[in-house]
Amino acid sequence: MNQENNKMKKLIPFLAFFLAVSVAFGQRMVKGIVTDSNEPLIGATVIVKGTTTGTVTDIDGSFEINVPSDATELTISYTGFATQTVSIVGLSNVNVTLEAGQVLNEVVVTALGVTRDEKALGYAVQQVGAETISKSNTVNAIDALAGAAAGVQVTQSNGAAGASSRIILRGQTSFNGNNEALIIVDGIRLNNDENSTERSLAGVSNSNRAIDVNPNDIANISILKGAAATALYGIEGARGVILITTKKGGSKELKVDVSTNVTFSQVSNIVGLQDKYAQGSNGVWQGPETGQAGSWGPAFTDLYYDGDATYKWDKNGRLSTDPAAGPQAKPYDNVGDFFKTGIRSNTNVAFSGGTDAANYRFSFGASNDDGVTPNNEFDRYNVGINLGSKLFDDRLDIGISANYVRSGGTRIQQGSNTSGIMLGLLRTTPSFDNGAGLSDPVNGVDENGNSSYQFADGSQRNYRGGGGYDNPYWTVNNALFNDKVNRFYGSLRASYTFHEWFKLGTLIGTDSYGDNRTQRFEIGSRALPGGQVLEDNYNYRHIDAYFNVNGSGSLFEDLTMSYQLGVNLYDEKLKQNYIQGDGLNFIGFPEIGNTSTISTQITNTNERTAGVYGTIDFGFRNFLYLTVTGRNDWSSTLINPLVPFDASSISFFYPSVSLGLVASELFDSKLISYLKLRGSYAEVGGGAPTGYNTSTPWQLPIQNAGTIFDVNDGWTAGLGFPFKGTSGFVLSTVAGNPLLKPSRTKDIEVGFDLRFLNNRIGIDATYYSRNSTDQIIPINISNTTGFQRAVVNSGELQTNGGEIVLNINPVRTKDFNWNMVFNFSKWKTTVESLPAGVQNQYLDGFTGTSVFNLAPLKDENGDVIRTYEYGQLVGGAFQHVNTDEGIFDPNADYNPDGALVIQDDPSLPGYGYPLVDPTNRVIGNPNPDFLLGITNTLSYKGATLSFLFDIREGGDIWNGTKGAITFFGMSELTENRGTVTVFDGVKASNGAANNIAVPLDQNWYQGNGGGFGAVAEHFIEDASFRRLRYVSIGYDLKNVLNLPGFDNLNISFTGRNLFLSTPYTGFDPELSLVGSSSNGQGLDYFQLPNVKSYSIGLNATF
Amino acid sequence: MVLAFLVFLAASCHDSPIGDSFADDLYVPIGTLVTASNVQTGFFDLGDPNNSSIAFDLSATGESISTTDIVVSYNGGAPVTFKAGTAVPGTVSVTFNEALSAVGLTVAEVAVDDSFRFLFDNGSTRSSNTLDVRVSCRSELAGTYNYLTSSYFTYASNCDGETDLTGTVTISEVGAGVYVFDDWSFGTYDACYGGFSGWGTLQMTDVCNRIQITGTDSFGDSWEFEISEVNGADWNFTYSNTYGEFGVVTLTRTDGSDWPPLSN
Repeated sequence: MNQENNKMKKLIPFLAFFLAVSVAFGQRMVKGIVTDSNEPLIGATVIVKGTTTGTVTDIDGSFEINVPSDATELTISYTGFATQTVSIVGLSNVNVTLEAGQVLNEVVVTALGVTRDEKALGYAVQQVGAETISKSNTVNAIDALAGAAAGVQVTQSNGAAGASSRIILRGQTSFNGNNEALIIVDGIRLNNDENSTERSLAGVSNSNRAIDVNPNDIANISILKGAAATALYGIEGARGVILITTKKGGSKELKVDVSTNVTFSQVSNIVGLQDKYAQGSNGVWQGPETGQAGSWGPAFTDLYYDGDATYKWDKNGRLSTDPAAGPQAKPYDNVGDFFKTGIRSNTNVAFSGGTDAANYRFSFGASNDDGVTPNNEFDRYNVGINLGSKLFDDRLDIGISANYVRSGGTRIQQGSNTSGIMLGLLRTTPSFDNGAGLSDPVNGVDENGNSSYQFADGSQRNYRGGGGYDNPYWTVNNALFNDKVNRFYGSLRASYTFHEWFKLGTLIGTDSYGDNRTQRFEIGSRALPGGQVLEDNYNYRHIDAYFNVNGSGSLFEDLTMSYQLGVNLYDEKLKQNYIQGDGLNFIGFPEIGNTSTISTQITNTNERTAGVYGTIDFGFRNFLYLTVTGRNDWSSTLINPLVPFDASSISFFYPSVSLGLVASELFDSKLISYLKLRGSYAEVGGGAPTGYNTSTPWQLPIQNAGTIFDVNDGWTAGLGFPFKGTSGFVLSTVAGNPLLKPSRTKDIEVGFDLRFLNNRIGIDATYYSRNSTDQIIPINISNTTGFQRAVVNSGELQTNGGEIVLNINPVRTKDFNWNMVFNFSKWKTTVESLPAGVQNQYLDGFTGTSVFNLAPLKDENGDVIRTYEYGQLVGGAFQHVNTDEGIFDPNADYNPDGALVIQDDPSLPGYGYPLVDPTNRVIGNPNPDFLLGITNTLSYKGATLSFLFDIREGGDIWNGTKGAITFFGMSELTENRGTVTVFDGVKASNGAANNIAVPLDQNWYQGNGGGFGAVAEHFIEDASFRRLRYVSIGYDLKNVLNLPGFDNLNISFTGRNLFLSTPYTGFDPELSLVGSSSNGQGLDYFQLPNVKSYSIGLNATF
Repeated sequence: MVLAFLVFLAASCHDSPIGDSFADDLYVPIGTLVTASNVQTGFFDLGDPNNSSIAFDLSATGESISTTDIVVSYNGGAPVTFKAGTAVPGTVSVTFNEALSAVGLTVAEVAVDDSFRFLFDNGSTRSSNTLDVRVSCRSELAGTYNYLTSSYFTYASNCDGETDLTGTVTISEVGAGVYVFDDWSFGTYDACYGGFSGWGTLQMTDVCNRIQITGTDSFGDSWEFEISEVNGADWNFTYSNTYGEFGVVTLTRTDGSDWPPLSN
């Protein structure tokens, strides 16, 4: 931190220089009133033409703006009114009347950063502005897109500081590859990898690297969802594109923008826990010294402390059922005591300005986030520079964008590992105090030298007598993960206009970062008792370069045309240095040099693609627009080094055509303000395959049992290299495939944009159908080939979906304005085929419940009778009636809505309980039925209230956390222990209604009633939710405080996740254990919880 | 237009083939669980059928009831209502002849190891708790007896197995016809290993004089008694276990009575 402060101090003289330069320009004040034909317009935008200097009108429609002395025009705009440009030459007062019913010519950023008139597009593009991003108050700008645009699904891994977020546009297009949207910043690709150090089901929650972008530097985000919109990205276009445009200078005077806010966060929801029963088994108390894992002991109402102060596991003594022993025992609130209020401060300062020939913007951001989990933190420091200049009568346009980021923090173990804090925390019995009664259980020590998690003798203190799982306080002190990222990304751009038909341009950018990570497990960790240190360092760099020629103009009176031809060269390198040190020599120094066994692995990944592209656009009479694009890519990862180079074998062409018809230009209607019909067809790629798949590489032999290299006698480890001191390599067990190619997505999209009642209502609807073929997938092959697997192009995904964006402006009066935006999305991605003979493809999961892509079900004739959506949850189920005869047939389809089939033979085990289906079934579908975001913005006399309701309907999630803690007697569900039930079902023998009363007891919950039994079906839950994503209240203090010189002085209060309604009984149905690191979604297993937050912020521009 | 939008929403309702979570809905507190406890005798004695009976206490949890029907089935056959309206809580006594009569059989038609299963049905629900009563014989093998062990083998190097061992062994009844020995090695472990107590779950069952050893010791080994002769007060057999140890044993009664005709 001190180093950071020092750096900031060093920059102050630099800033002062620009301040001095900028104030040298003269200024004058212009006032005015903006009205419609009847009354003043509140909130109309007034901008000095050619700059970003502007203001908005107040409740009287009045404005005041300091303009450079040489400014000549103001541009006034207001939603639903025609934009006007008025002269201010010689004027200090300007009154403007705007005409209603006109559609603004909305400019949007499209592929390769080209700005185009929205009405000329033949495909859907949605933009999210800086204001929306700011109101969302998120560390990661990606999170701000949740609910803010149609076709977008954002899934947070959890609520920890620095956690990753997964963003999917219009469903999935890849089995094994990356399905997350490609992120582009100012025209250059931005790496968004998560680079998980540990496996996806355990370890810590890493960031994915979009988090390094400072949301405060973003001017807007264009979301390119369909293939026609992304066709110019060719081989990388299938995933959709998030186009981020950063803020730039523009005003002729220095503008200083300062914003700061403080956010307080709390855990929003925890899976229900019981606090009525103590540690033990079958109703008998068994204390920590027994190692008992379960909380199946007596009720607290029957327990008393014996007061034995020498009992080291509890200062109140042992538990006794003798009322004479001492005071009544009480449950401890381990969860409530563990989490704290998180605090995040976020401060940004930006200086911007310019001259006729140049503009600049310097920005500085600091975000310091202390999470709700002790010792979890994520800090980010951003420095951004944007310089631009237009010279030679604006013919030469050059610019530079440079961003330095330093980010990282301290992360906490979670998920499926015995050091995961949620695993230890939620399994801890309520009769054990993880905090040991210390006022500071994280750092405190009692008079005997015992901490909450460690006795003075060095042994661990936890509810299982030192075994089992780490005390969460142990984990947050002794199993920490630290990462530090130093990153630079930016670009240089230049273009020269020789003629309107001939402009040369170039854009060269880079993204480079080093990510240094250290994971330490101190001696005594339950996961790694001997201790372990991981040093995992990533060095990433890419260069993304574009060279193009473009032009535009009129061919004839009614026909306009523009074109662009270009070349894109992309070079990417990633080097991972992984060092694993096992077995710490002594406690207290968890560093790699203190480990007894060190192993290393270095991974180099290089990739290059070259592309040529072209686009041509025609416009006819301002109502008919045609765009045709084409791009050809060559990928280095497809080169087969064993054969002579053949460029055609690595060459792939991606075309697109789109048509837009502004039908409202063809007729006059007082009702319809605007109507555009659009349609497009495009083909794009699913990304270059990872390298080394086109030929069979040599590698160090792997001596895993069961592999074809496993030459052993069943007793010894077998033969291996180095053999008698000689190193050697063997062919990989995965056969190379010289014919491998990228997957291809073909996409058809149609839609319309209809606005009426003077633009008070607008509907933008889109339907799309996309088909992704030639999936890259490994398949098992016969070992007689000498290989175990081969990577092939096979399999097909089909996505059909629709989006509706509904804009409503219900109230628009002098004082009060209300705007509503509905973003509705619905899609379904189905697996149309897997490689021949492959029935399923594992994506992620656990032994009992996993996520698979499943081959379509076919009848005896080979005809498909059913397809499955992407990433189905597969696991154990109960028997349900699944035939018309009212019985269960193991060969018939799974029917979860059918009556349970009950074992009614008293001579067999499980009498009175549901029978288990002998076959694993598709028990859940994580994909939502639809998403709906509803944004409301209400403004009244300088105050603005915005809130976003985010709705997800349908989709399932496996509540593995609840299943596990049910087994251990910790789930709230198990509070019904000792009660009696009759399962609602039918008897297996005769189909009669079940009437067998059974006890709900430890045996049931530790069998099929719990999460470790043969059945997972009852922990598959509906992931629907209705969420108040954010609510933001802002008030402009400028006029109240009468502060001359201020363009803006806004105070705001923002809350996130303040309301959540869901049938889900776990943490939060939006969270995902695997984060962005895996395509296997819908898993909840002891990940960190989500948070709700409150913030207060101040933003000033002067 | 808004209406059209709502119609669109309605048309998009959840159509997943997968049901919602039912973990919480699975458990409606309903029904009554009747439990038989404090069971006396525990078997119907084929050796003395006219005087054989069982008795047990009935209690209930769940929904309150005052009576239950007792239903009996024979060898897994169709259940027959036996004692309707039996008070709960209460104590029930059932004679062998009553049970036979309920299922329409005579003593001559039943055999050792046949089973009567008593179930408890209050009309609306039937309890999953059952009481199984086997047809067996009275067994009276408990007591302390003298042993003579010879020709034994252990893996201890200090035991040659040629020195006969003598001592006493106590057989304790832990259930109807179920026994445990305080020394299953009949002195050999004491002599050769210096003692042993990890007898695990080893048990001897006596069903109408047929002897069987069940369970394993703490090392997971199972044991077997191969009876060679029962002669008055002497019971001769060879014990062995799956570890490979064995010995020839003569157990002698000292109370003046003879062993019943035990066999494997």
